[in-house]
Amino acid sequence: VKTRILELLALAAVVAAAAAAAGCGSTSDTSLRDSLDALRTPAATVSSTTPTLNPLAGLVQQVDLTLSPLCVNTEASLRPTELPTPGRMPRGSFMRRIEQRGHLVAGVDQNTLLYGYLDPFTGRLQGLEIDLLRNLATAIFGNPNAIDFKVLTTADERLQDVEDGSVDVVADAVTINCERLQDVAFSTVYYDAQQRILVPSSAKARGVQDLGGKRVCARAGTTSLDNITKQPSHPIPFPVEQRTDCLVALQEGRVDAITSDDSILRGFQVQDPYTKLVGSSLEPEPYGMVIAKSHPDFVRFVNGVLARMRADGSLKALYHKWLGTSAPHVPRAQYRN
Amino acid sequence: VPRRCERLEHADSSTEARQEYATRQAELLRALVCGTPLPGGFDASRARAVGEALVRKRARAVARALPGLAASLGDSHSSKFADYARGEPPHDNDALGDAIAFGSFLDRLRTLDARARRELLLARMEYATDTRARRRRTPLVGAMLDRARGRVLVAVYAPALGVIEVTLPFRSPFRRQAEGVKTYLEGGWPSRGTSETIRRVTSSGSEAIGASATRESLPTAWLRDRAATTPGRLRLLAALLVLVVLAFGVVASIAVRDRQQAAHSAAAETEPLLVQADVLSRSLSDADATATTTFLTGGIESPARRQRYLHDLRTASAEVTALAEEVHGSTSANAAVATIATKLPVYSGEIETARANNRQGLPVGAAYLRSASGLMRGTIVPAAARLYEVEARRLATDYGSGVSASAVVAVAAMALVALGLLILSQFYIARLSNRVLNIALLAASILLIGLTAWALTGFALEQSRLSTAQRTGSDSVEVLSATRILLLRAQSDDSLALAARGGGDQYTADFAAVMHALGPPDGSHGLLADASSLAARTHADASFDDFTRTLRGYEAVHRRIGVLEDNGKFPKAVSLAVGRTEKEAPLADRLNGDLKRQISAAQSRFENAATDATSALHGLLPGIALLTVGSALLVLIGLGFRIREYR
Repeated sequence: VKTRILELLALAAVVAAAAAAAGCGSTSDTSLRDSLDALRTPAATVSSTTPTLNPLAGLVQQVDLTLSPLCVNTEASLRPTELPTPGRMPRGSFMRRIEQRGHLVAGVDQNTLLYGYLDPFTGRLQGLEIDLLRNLATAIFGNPNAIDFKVLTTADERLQDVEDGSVDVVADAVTINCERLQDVAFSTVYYDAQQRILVPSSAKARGVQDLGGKRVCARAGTTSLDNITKQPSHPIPFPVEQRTDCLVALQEGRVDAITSDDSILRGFQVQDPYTKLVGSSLEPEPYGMVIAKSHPDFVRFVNGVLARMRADGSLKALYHKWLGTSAPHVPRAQYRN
Repeated sequence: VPRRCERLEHADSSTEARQEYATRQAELLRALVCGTPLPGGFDASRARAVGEALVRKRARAVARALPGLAASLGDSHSSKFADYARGEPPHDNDALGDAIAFGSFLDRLRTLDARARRELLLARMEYATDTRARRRRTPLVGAMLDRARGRVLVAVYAPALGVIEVTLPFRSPFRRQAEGVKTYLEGGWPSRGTSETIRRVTSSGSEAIGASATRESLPTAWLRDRAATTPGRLRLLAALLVLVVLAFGVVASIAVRDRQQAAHSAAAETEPLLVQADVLSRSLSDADATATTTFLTGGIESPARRQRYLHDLRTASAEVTALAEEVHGSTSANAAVATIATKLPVYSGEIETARANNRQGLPVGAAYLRSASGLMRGTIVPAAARLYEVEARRLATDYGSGVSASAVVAVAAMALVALGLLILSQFYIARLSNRVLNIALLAASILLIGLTAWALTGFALEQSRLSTAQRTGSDSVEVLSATRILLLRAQSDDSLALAARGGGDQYTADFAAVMHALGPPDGSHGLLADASSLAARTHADASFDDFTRTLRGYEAVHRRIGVLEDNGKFPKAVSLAVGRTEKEAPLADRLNGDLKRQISAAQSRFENAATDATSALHGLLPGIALLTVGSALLVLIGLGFRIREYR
């Protein structure tokens, strides 16, 4: 009987041991969950307005806008006033505010060879537009380096940043047109570009008419992209965020052609000799510097600087410095009051 | 003359007369039992009468031995036996043997019904196993087919249990159909539509089958028969005990095997895969961060950065190749490996194009770098993160099954049942035999208790070590490697934002999101809170404090760079980040180094504990087999003694 009592005790011990075994050593997946949650942090995106690809929408808007007095002659800008001495901007003017800040803030691109690009070796921005802006800084401060460049990554930023005042001026191959004139002011034309087509040297296409059903790259939010969607041969538009992304897409065979301004396309040709410009101009693309509508004094000041550069030949010299012998004529300034 | 009759001769022939006498006696005997011609000197009619009387006596004995056979033959039994006996001498004083021989003779002629044949089969089993001087020690199986009732009767003899009879239904679909048709024909023409009648007929057919099934449920009857006698009850008890003990062994083996597999899988398969996936993610992120930083510094790239990038890329390709071979089963893991394997060459191609263009001072190089970085951050790194997640979840599953309470509960429950039964039977036997101690049964109980204790201790050890492996090892590995991947992402964000020179708002926002996920360095929330509590748990506070101090410094420098960026002072910002006056990059490198050291420390903690966990169950499987079989044998021995007392 004693042994059996012992056995019963052992039975009870089994139950106790089992309870202990089940209780000790539990696991939890809190760390796992937290780690995975943290790793799943989504890539942050900045909301940007998507360019309208519907050609009809643009058309309707344009019909309305052509009635605007600004659209009678889009290239006509405010007549310049006499330039004040550098460092002594008139009291109460926008230039005075810039002067007090200590530097000009200018929106530029850093990927467009010849116009505005970053030299990978020096880490400095340079190009035709950069030099233009330095001239502007010289006119305000007497110092070409009193300038902070803000790199613009999307085409829409070129207008938005001027409107919201985060930059004073933008020189980034912005075409003057009626629609944009509703939102911002432009300087006189500092460069007359033409929208052209760039294809690989081996391509048979001789113009936009041969590109039906082909993918044609252009920067999103530009006039070039709008134009290509309106072509009767119906090329397939391929929008990219930054201009030079088109050259990557062409070199990797993702697109069949690039459409942009001849100025930009020449820069592409320098970077890739196995390309050629084809066809005639699709549309003239007059470039102006973008300035907020609320600063007409600054527009007149910028136009004054441009007029002086036209007169003393320094604009022509800049053309030669960056574009060489293929440089076009310096466009004539047109003014309104 | 039948062969057996020739042997009926007297062996002793020492003298002429004796031999003569013996010969005549043998001849007479042969004539009487086998119907050979009568030797001279005997009255033929009397001799025939004696012979017939002898055969009738044999027939009566045979009828007593196999009553079912006799009943099924009825009146023809004696005449049939007489026909048979004319050619067959009696078995040596053995009515059962004689009856089996007669039954077999009739069975060969296919004249027996099922009842008689069942009796014959059971008698044969009994005869083969029990009538000899010793009981048979090996199992024996006999079977018969009862065509008429569509069933198979299987008789199994097992030592210590006796003969067990099992009836299995044996019914071909053809036969059932034929029966249905037969019922239909007998039922006459349908009165209310054909389909209904057929349904009725079919259902009546299935009713018939059901009825026969209840009639054939013999196990209850068999049990009743067995339980009627004490040795029968003891045999049943022995069978039950053996069954329960063996079942305990099976359950315990399964539980131990499951635990062993889980612990082994965690230690040797999933965790190493997790580490590989982490190395992959980390080297991909680092390659991208290095490539962007290299571009940012401008000029001729530094050989150290180039080496780091190449090393990262080499590591990533090696890991992705290794993982491709080791990732099985999971489609999402396979898809992730395929994505990385196909996109990584595209990435490195674009990076090289970017370098070539940068060397010529062409801005398209920057565009290639952006494209490559977009591919890495948008496609390749997320795929690596998915892979990491799959492996991390597999490890969690391994932990779950490695510490699941179901194993302990199952083993304990089975042990309770087996021990309870053993103890109850000892009480029962003690009452039955008035013997206090059944040594064999007691030994069996002790074996079982010992085995249970061993198994439960093993489980508890394995469980606590596995939990240690997780709590101090892999938890830290997971949190720290997630931290490292996020920090690398932040670094790459930082470089890309600087490279965009004020245009990289999305990178700045991503940097902020990543830092938010990490939480502040004081560890009040976010992933760093986990890291901080893990550091406290693993007594790694000192190195974690070092890390947070560096992180504070890093964030301070980042803020300074942010201010410079906001004011448009990009050259100064770049210089502070990675250039001549660099402050940020060395801090980032130190953060990476710190994390690397902490991760490898956590990894070795994991490995030690996980190895201990697997060794906790060493030897348990063979132990279970040995001890359960041992106690089953002891049960048989212990009850065998008692059973034999009734023979």
